[in-house]
Amino acid sequence: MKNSRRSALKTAAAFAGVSVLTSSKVLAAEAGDFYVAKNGRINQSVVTWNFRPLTIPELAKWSVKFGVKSVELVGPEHWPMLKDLGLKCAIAGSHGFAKGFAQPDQHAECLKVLEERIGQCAAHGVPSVITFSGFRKGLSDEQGFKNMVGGLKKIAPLAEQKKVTVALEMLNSKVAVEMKGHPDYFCDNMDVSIDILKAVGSPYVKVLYDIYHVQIMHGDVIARLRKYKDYIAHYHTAGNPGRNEIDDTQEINYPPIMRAILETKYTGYVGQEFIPLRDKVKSLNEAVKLCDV
Amino acid sequence: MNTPLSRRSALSTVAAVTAATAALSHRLSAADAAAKTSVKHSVCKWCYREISLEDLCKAAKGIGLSSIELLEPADFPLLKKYGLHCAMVSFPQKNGLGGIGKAFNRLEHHDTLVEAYTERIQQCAGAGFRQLICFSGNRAGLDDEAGVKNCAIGLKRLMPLAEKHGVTLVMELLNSRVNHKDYQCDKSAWGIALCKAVGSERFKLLYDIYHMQIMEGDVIATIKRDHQYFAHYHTGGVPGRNEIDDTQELNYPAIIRAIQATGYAGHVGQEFIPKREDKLASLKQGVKICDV
Repeated sequence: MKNSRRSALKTAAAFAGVSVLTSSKVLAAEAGDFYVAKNGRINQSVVTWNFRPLTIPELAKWSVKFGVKSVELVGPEHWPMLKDLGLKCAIAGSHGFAKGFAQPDQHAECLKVLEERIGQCAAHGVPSVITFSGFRKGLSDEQGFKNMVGGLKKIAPLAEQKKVTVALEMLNSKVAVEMKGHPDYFCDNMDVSIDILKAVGSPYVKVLYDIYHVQIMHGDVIARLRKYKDYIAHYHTAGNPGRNEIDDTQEINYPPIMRAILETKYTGYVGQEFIPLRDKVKSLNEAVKLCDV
Repeated sequence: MNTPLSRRSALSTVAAVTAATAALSHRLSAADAAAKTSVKHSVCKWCYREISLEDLCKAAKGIGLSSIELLEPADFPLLKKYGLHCAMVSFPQKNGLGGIGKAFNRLEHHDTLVEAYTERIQQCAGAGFRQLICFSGNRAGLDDEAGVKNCAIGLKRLMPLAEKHGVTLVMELLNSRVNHKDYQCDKSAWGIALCKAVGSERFKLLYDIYHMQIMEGDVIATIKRDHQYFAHYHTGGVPGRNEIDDTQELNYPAIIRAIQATGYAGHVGQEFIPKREDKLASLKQGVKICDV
């Protein structure tokens, strides 16, 4: 039964083809199965891990087709391929979320990765690079805060010099399901994350506002992004609950959130980071349409 | 089985081959199918101040409402005249107590509140209305643990009467970040702790989706997990508390489907303040959005 939707669409396309009788129109109908971003005011991007087993080149190909401008959180080895297709990498990957600046004994390792990556970003026109807090491991709020500020201050001068934004991701610590939540992650509070950035005080150290994670930990998504607009380097999407499709099967109404983002004069990218339950390419296309306000 | 069968074709399959229902998709559960017809709609009168209660009663049927709520006993005869229910009766006020800011979290309020609520419970029972709103009051320096303790002491005094009459006292969860600064019952976890402390089926919470989206988000997961403590639901667009349509961040149809899937049989109360000029058109739209 899983193929019923796809076969229905094929049938519809076939009927459309029969009714117009020309092969060029058949192709047009098939192309019409996909939405191509036409407004483009939201610069759309796609995260890749959540679309596996689709490969990065496959996602890049679909991105071109759908009017998505970036394939993100991919390493420098993929950037020439993206460039050839006219795509950007909106944000570079770096160290993973399990390590980060909350833990002083992880500072050196994270700084090493970020320093190298910032140089590569600057050379290839990648505007930002991701970073994380890592886990709390019993740290008090106060100590973790201090560690975060101290660590991020060490990377800020290079980020400023190279004009590459370091984007700290806030994640939810509530959902104890792998890749849907991260129990014990330190930066699980957007308000505290912003306070950390304020204490760091660099225009090149900002936050990654993941709408899914914010909805789980706080709610009040639009009011929060308006309030923190000057500190937001990047956005991610996903449906809640479940981190799946961002459509009307879940509680977050994405189009008005995208309009609110535009109202803040945001010029960065919005990365689709949901785990499709249905046909992955079709779900990506539907998400592109929802966010093309 | 994870099937993308369309809802309509699945429903016709149900009609045609009842015996085959066991083979149908898990996602198209009985609760999901029943939701189509089981949402009961209500509206909070205070959001339509310039419309008389009688005019709202007259408009109710055309809008799809079977209840107008947060009304006083003096309003009950008019409701009855139009065959309408009151899904949530308004709170009694006595000596300046009972409203949002000053209520059950202070021991010194209890004698007055017990007297006022005793009368109101009886009025509800007499009219056949089963739910009566109440509030925690503001913190005013009181810590959350003491707030639960104090509220429970006062509410427990009313439970025998509430149980006898089958009337549920329903404490509303409100946001303290935008609208009701310092209100104590501002997190579902606090309200649930109070439900446990009171320990009666006749005390529950009003989960206001607007207020809880502002305070804690994660609406559907909270409802799925904690619905046994929620006796009633209110709507409102976030941010702004206006229309619940595509101008705001909550996807109401999905939320109402999640509420219906818990087996909820009560009303969904529209409590948004229409921004557009034709307020009843906005109300009708709100009801339609929630008629999943």
